[in-house]
Amino acid sequence: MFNQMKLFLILMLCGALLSSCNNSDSQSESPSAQSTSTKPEEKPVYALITKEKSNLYMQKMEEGFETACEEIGVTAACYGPADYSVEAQIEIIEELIESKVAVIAVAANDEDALQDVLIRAMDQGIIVLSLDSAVNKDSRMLHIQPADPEKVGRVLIQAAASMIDNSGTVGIITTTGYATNQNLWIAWLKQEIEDNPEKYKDIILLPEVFGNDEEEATIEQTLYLLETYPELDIIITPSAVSMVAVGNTLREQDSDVLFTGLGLPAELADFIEIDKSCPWFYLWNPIDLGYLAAYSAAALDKGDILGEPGDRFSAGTLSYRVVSQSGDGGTEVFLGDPVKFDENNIGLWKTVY
Amino acid sequence: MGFLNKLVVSYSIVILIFILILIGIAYNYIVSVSQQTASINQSQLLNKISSQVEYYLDEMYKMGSQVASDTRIINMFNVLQEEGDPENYFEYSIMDSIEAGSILTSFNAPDYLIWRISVFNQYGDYMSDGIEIQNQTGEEKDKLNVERLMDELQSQPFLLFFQNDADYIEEDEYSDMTMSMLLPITNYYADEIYGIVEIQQNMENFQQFIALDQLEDSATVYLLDQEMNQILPRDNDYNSLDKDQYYITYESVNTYGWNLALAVSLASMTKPYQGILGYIILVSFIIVISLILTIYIITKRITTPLTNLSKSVRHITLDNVPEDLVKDESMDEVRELNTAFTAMLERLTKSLAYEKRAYLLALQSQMDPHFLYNILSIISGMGLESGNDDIADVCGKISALMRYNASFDNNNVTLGDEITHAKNYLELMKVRYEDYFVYSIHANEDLLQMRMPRQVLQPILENCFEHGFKSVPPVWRIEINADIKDGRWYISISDNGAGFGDAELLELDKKLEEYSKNLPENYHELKIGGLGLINTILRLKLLMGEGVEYQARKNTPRGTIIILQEGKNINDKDTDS
Repeated sequence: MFNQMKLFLILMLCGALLSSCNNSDSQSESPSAQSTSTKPEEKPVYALITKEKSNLYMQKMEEGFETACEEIGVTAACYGPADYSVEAQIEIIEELIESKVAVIAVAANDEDALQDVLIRAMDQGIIVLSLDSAVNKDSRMLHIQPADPEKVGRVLIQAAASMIDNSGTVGIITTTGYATNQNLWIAWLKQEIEDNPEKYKDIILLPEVFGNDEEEATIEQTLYLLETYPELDIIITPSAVSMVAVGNTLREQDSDVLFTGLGLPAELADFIEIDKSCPWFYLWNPIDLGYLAAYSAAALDKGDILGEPGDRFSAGTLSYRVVSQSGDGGTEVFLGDPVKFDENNIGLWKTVY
Repeated sequence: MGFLNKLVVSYSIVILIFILILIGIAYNYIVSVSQQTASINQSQLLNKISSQVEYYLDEMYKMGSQVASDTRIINMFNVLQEEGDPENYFEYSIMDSIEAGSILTSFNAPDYLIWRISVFNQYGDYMSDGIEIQNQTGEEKDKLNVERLMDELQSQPFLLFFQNDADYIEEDEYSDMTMSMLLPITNYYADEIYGIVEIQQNMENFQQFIALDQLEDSATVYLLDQEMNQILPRDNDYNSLDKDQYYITYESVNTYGWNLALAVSLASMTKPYQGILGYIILVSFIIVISLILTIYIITKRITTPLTNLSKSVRHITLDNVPEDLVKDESMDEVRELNTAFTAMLERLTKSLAYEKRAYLLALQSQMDPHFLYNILSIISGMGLESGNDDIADVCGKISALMRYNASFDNNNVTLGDEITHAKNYLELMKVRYEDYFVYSIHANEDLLQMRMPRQVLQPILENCFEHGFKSVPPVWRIEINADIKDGRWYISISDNGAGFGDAELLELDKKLEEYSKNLPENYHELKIGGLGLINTILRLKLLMGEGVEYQARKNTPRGTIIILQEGKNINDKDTDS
């Protein structure tokens, strides 16, 4: 009885949390309901599940996904939980399986937790791929990698070191311990230090703390670092949500501590142009990431590629892309190098995303 | 074919030819106008495309200039130039690689109008942004080739290449034809080239931008470079174009020296006007048919009275001449024709009446001589019985004389006949006047067979006895001479009678002139004997025209000489008689 009630409540919660991409009316609809509503058009439905629906970065990703779907001629259906809950993502995926969508693209909140439901989806003939934050290789057919994790990880510490003239204390605020991409970047960040001990001999890297991709938690962690490590010179945070929270906290604390990481220009322009607390930061184009995911899904859906290394396909305005082997043994497609946002170009990019 | 059909067919052919000429002129005019219109439209279109091409290349150049003048790029390549490291710096320097990529992508964002922006130098340092290619490391770059390009850029602000020319870079097998604009990354002060900025555009994108794919199928735009090498389109060779079948307009892209040729098939140019032409032909056909029908109706209206007139004339007899030949006189011309025919028939009727009367008179005059011949024959017999041979001789001459005069069988006789007849007459006169009268006749043998009218000499001879000899004492003399002088024949009859006075000669000339003016009208008024001389001369003129001349003058010491001679300006055939 208790389990039935729990299931009912979860279903109710998921139903309330499900949102659609750009149609406010459809936000309250379940994937099955939406699927039914698209049936008369007889167009395949490509579903995108983001990490969290209010995340601007994720919304930009949806934007690109929708654009590509329109170009491809399929129906885009975008969903996202109200928090970074993997359970909510599972529920959404289950609904989508019931709806018999053609594609499920997910920015995973957990690398392994989605495995069962995604395998079930693939068994049903649904094309499954992850983007931004990957699921494990067995849970997907392809991963859309925003950038080379090695490059991202190494450039973050290189940039931070450069900002403090290769000498000082560096703190890291990441999301969760389960976030695939963040973990990978931080691993490469540490590898960079390990590979270049001489270069980073005057750098003290503090243990990373977790902001859970939530504003409050990130603020708490920022305050914690400021209080615990008064010698702190710079904070690295590979999360768009955390970047804003860290910037605001440093501003409120009137701190001289710098910060950098991965964030959205639209949210962080003031910290470069006014506060100067962030000399520069990095990010790839989330719009392009969503766009590439849709075209990759279409290539799989149409049978143009199998998701094997060396497969090539046309990705619309992004031209041709090549499937490559990923570090986890699966396959992936790179979007490209991240963009460096500084005072020279932030004015332009803050209007884009 | 009847008169009506002949007229209708003739008029129809003329109208048909006229309409065909009109259609031909209209068609040529339409073609000419369509070509002029097309020429204007093509010029405008080509001018627009030229502007678009220029704008497109300008944008490439602008982008290249922005990148090439970015101090961060200049500084990076300045350092790389000094280091001369053969490794691609951007491969191992992640931060600078991302920075360089960010600079490039920031120039191109947010619309990404440029297909790919690359920066590189001769040492293999290479970074690009935009459409990915397989070999993005630049390792394949030919160092010597890049150095050559950098040398060329020392003297030129930019270089333009196409895929076939851009052999310095290995293209991805999926990449389409591209064009690249290369600009130098320079130090403003040292004037040294550190590297090259390559602004690369996909030709498909270029074609879409200048809207070549929007052109109609019948039109093709050819883009040719400075050396007239074809750039676009790739599947249609300009040199193999049949220039006679296309109307071609040219335009140059001023700044970049490219040339544009717009070829539009002539057939397609006149196609919009084919409908109009068809309409013209249809209308012309209707007009032709209408005109032919109209012509038929009008012609029939004209020819029907004429046909009726013709039928009437064909069935008319002189015994039955109707008052109106054609009943329908609604047309002036027909009325005139009818009147003319009627008048002609009236005159013909009168002439026939004269002819009938003359014929009866002739028959009557032939009746009398037979009676006289018989009498003369009886007298001749009586003379012989009484032993007077002279009576028989005289009767024979009179009979011959009368037979000659009364003969209608042959109006044209020879001079010899006339001489014989004149001799008979003069012999009779000799019998009567005996020694009071003498005569002589001299005739050239060559002239005896000359044809001439009957009774020319006798009336003149009669005049001698009637008028000439009455008032003068004998011996009376008459001389007849017929000879040839200066190649012309002449006959002179001279007497020693009273002769003509000057007034009489003038009166004779006047009458001759008066009667000569309307000879046929006055002929019937001439009476033999009354105006014998005039009668004779007029008959001669009537028959011989200008072939004969007449002359009357005084003889010496007295008398008259009448001379008839061949006209000066007459041809031989006119003198047939």
